[in-house]
Amino acid sequence: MNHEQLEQYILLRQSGELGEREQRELDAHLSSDADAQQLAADYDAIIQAASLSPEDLQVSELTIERIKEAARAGTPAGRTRASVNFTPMLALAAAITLLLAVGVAILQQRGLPDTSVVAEMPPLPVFEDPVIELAALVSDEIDQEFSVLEAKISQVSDELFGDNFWGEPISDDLDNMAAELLELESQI
Amino acid sequence: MPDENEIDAPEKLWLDQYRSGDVDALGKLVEHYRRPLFGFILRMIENNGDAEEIFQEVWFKAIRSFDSYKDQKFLSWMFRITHNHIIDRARKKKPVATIHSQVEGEMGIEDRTAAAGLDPVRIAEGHELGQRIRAAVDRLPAEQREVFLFRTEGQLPFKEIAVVMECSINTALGRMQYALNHLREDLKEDYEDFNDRKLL
Repeated sequence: MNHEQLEQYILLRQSGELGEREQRELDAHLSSDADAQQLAADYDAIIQAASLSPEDLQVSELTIERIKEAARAGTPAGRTRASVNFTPMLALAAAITLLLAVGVAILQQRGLPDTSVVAEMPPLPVFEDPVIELAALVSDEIDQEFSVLEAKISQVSDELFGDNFWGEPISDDLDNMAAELLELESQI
Repeated sequence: MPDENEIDAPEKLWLDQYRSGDVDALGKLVEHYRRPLFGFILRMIENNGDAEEIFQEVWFKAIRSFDSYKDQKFLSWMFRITHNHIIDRARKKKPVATIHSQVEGEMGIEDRTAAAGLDPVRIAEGHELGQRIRAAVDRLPAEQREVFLFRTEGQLPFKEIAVVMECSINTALGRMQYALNHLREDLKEDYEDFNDRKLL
């Protein structure tokens, strides 16, 4: 067994991966070679002493809880540090929450609006198809308004012009009237 | 080293329970593998303050990837994620991972203990040997250190280390040999002292 092989066998024995035949070879070699025994002892000593003690390996409950939280969500919680990442979305959410809280506080202070006013209002129409029926309702109301306006225009024009609405210009009528008046005056 | 079956039996049960919606089962899995995983992370990175964050991120990645986990050793699968994560972090945010290019020259005990940030009380309590060894491990080249930590903290067999590091078992063994021979030379007096104490 050469030195390279000896080192490998010692390591494989230590990790529990050495086969039975190799184990016998190693034992035979170690029993007859003091340097090999020292090497094996040194390797064992270093490996044993190098491991951290349990008190060095404490993980905080917070970290464990975050991992569980991520597991619950199926994805990471999104934060990797103990501190909260202050993002614009977080600021917006905080602002909205604050506004809602202030609004609720004001309402509680002033009391709610008088509900009797609302109770006296006529019930709102119920539509099967809100868009179509609302459009039809608005159209009917506009038609009615137009009819009223047309009637008023017709009445006023009759009063002013009689049948001569589309006839002579008003200025000509006035001229004729003035001429008639002058003629009557001269006769007087 | 824990028996392979002892590890595999509960891990499969907990994984199945977690997949059925039992989040507490994942908590058991995290606790079961806390020591090897966290120990490895703690030793692989320079800033210990980042260890918990990396531990958490590794589990986040694992949770996202549980669907791709097949019939392989769970701890090796977790170490594969950890290995990749630490490399990614080191690339993005130097120098989180300690990538020493070579073993530094001989240092005095005072320097070595100072490098490891030793607590005088703990030295007095007899922890100094482990601390000196760990400080020497920190000075190993990254690949040797990683194999060494997979073995010592992760308790992974070389067959699994080879899978995690995507190399042959002989390469993994060779790196471990180099690591141990470096440490043996660096800490000759220390482990002799350790062996003497063991004999007492």
